[in-house]
Amino acid sequence: MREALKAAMTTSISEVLETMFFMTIEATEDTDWTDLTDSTASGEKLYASKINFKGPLSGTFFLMVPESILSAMTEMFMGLEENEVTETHLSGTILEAINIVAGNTFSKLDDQTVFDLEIPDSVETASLSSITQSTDKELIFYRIETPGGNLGLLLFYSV
Amino acid sequence: MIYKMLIVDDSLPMRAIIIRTIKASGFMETEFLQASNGEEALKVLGTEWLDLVITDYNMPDMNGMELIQRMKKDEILQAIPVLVVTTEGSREKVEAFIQEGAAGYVKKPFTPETIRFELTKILGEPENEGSIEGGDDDFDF
Repeated sequence: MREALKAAMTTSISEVLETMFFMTIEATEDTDWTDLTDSTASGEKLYASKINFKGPLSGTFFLMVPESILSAMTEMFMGLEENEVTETHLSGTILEAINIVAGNTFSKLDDQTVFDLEIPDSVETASLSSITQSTDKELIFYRIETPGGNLGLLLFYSV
Repeated sequence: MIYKMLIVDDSLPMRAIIIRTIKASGFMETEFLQASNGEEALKVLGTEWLDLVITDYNMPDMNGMELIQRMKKDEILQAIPVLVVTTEGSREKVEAFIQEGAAGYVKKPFTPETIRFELTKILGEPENEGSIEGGDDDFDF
């Protein structure tokens, strides 16, 4: 199951970022995402979203995106100029991105099975470290390399 | 022909990209109305006659399936075709949408070609042909 999930996640994130955001990416499995969540290290604000799901597996997907990349994604997604992008646009884009990535992952994993996705939500990035340390669930993390920098896609799940 | 469409999605960016995609698909004269869930959509449908409703599934307050069910129970609204655009990809869910009366289904992430194919199936070829490779609104795929 873990290998199938990993394959579905990488195919899904590539497809979503290329089709909807026109970004070519390279996904690499990793175990450490502290450089992404530590805004003082990067000097840049980090946005994060999550979506809970239930079904044969239950758990949560998280997407972490630095502000500059999210801004570029939003401009591309909504057809806006850089100076037109607002906080509402940024948060709307990262919520929709995790929604599509999660739905697409489950379609790739098994289109015969129904997974119920909740409404996506924003995450306080400061809480990301404590959330990830306190879980007893299985964990998969991908570092997504883009020309503008790195994003993170994290999955917690249990069977 | 000028069409009037209602886009129902709780995501503002997604409503925006659906509208841009439809325009780039040749339906450039279309008038768009927007709602962020099924309840809001029903309010719009109570005051406006529409050629097409395009709805997401997973929305707060009233989801896309409930919206279709409510429309199909209404003598007037049941005549308006509904296209579902959603992340839900299981065959069971897709079949359920069609069984409830959806005229078509597009899975996110979508390409402009997929949207155009479904719109043409439901509404016919647009009179004002646009180019998917670009258009008046500088929309390049």
